[in-house]
Amino acid sequence: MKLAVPIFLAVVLISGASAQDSRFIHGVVHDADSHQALEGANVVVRGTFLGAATDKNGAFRISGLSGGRYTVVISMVGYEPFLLENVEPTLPDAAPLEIMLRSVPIETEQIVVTASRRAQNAREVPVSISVITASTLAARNIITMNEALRYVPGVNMLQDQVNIRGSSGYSRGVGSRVLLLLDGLPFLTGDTGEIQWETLPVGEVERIEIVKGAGSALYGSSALGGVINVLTRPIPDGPSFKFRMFSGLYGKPPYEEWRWSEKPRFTSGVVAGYGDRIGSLQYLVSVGRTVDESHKENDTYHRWTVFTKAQYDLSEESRLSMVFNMLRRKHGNYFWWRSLREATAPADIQRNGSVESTRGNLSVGFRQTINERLFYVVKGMYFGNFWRDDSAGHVNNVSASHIFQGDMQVTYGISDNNILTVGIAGNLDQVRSNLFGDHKGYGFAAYVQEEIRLHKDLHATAGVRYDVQKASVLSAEGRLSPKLGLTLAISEATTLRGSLGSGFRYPSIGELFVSSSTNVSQLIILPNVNLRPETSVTAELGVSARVTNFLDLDGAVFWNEFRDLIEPSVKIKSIRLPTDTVESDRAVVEFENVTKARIQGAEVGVKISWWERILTTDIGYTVLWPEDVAQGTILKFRPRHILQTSATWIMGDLKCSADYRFISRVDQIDDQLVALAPIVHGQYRVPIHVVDLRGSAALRAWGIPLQIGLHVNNALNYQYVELVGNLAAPRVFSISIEGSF
Amino acid sequence: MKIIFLLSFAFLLLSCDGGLTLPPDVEPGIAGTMTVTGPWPPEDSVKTLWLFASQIFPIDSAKVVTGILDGKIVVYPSLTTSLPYNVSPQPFQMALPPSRYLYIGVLQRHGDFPFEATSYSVVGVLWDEENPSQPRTVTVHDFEVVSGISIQVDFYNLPPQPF
Repeated sequence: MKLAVPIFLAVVLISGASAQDSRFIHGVVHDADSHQALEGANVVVRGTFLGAATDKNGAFRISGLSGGRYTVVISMVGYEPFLLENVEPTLPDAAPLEIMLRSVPIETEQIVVTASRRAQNAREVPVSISVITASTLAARNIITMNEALRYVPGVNMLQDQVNIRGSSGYSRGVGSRVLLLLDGLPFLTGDTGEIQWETLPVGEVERIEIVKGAGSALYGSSALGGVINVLTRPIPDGPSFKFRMFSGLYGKPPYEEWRWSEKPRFTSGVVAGYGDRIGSLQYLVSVGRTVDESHKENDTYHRWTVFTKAQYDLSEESRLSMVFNMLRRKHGNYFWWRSLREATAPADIQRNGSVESTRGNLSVGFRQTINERLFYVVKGMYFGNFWRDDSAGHVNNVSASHIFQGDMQVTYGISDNNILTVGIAGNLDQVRSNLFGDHKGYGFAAYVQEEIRLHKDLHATAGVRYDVQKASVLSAEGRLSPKLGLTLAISEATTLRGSLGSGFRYPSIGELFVSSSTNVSQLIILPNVNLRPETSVTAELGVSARVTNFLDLDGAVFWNEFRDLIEPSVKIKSIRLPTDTVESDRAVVEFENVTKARIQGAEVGVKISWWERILTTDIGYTVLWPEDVAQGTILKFRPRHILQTSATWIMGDLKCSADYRFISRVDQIDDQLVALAPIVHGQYRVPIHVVDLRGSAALRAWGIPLQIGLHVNNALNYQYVELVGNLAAPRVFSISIEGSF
Repeated sequence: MKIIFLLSFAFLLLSCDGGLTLPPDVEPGIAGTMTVTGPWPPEDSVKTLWLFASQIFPIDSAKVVTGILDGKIVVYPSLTTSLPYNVSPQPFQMALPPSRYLYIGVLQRHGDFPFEATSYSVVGVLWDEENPSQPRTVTVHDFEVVSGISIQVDFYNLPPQPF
């Protein structure tokens, strides 16, 4: 780590020296029908890594070009891509290019950055990828990021634990098998290796990319079942104030026994942000406050969030950026119900428990474009997590974890048909906790990826990454992760894809060293330092096709093989606690490498636009065969069928939408957990049918820059559990108002 | 395409009930009396005394451990608590998941090692009245308690041991 600073400075100095006296391509992008300026259109110079996004005036400027003629591609979701050939870079005072984009019935041409660590069209990537945009988050009144993932094909949530195509079971979030990235850097907690969704700044997100299947060849540990990359929004180019507020009311549960509070239960929040530019410095600051009284007793939370992003253009080719993001939260410690008869009351031992946490990250990034075929990115992040839980004022457990990580990536276009990406990454972790002990860990990785155009319609991607990780006094573990991908455009509208990827996950410090006799259940948790990394291999074949201008299809078959899956095992063991005089039989939990699994499946997505795009419908269906090969049984906590459908009707400034989700009843749960925790009526579960309705109106026709939304979540007031002993929210009515000036 | 809409809507309406409902006040299970017919052994040799109900029969020592962990064998009062010593007759009401129980009885742990079958003895069995050499099968339905279960225990005249 001591070398990092001099290397970084050397890179900056070298890059500064290589900055060129370049020419520009600049222009303005408009909607062909309304002639309104289009903000957020992607402008890419083909055959280079140079590009830009249009600002709120529809303007863009691309520098760093040498002489010659270029092809410029302008694309935007909902518009037909526009190609400008033989464009000659000019001096800045030359007239800008005027570009008109025509809207198309189906949203296409999504640009993604996660699959290959560089911007590319989603149709060009060899793996299945889904994208959630900021407008979708706002339309669905998403408050915490995990809620948005419930609408992604192939994804289901076990309350706050994400499961992509059946990769994850249930472990209370510990040791996520899906790698979460924030702006490209891992964002898992240092102690338990889990995702803390609330720490992500929902209001400041531009989009979320979900890559399905193993992705350790580019991203390392935890990318066993997939990668979720949360990308924060660009800072506005001029003064901009944006706010959003919402207030919701939980509906009454259907049974008197579940009505634990005489008062109505509300959920409400507000977030407001301001951004501006001062010379070459752009900044954005936002503050948020959310209070959720919950439909369950002792499940209320209060949270404050602060988000700051700044970027400084050192030159036309280099940019320094910084993100500071922090969450402070107090939350009731509800683990499971007292019984299904009292499904909104916690088990007695959890009744007075609460958790206070402070979590935050500081990230710094530097991007330098050396020339049109070469750029590099250096990133670093500190992610801190501090929490403590207590019962009736008595502190039970505390944990402080710190992660420092860095990543340097160089991408070089060797030729028009050959792109090379190389990089190194490192991390340093420290955990101090009465629950996990005091431990340090560190890791280092190097990766390389080559993308080759073998034929004009055939692209191949090959990559490999080597990781070394060491946790505390345990010996270091090395892991090699290769990948291979192919895309074949069999026509202008149809692309075949195939990929083979590998994944692994080092056990978290929590799984290795946890030791507790003060758990919320009667279970004692024991450490296990003999855990081995989990591994996975993913193979996928897929096709995406534009059947007509109104119909898009995507299909995939996939096969995942998992080895050494770490699961919490609940059993009876004769142990002696510090408070005991003799050994006695106790129900204990130990994390163990217990399962070898195979998950095969298929996924279909159909997107249809009706009546000149007045109505659009979206259907995603996933079928899974999740097999515990070691036991010869169905894997626990995995559904067989996942169906997500949505319909959106747009009429001018009015928009109405309906979503329907179906998840088949989970065949197997952990009977031992239910019996020994114990969770009374924990075996009760049903298929999930959820309908969400919403409508919104933009008031811009009256000159008011506001949008008002009405939302009814779980409109059928369907009662279900995603997680054993946890009744999901009943019908919730809410209203939202957002505006930007 | 209208057909797809109609079918989807029909599927939605047909497939949705209200989801989870309140379970009945009555916990399904068995109820009755456990009676010790002879003297009790010394207290330090009765480390644990459980009523058990097994969906598996015949069983062996391996099946006992996996059966308990899988919930196919249920013990009463609980895995970590024992029936009281020197209390006879003892009435009981044991909650059980609805299923067919092929082997019901009373289990004593007398040895020091909880994972060794030799630490345990079956000290009483619910016998089939029509075929007294076979355990009686009891089927527990939803919302139903099978009452009148009577189990005799004789610590000094043990029934045939399953393991």
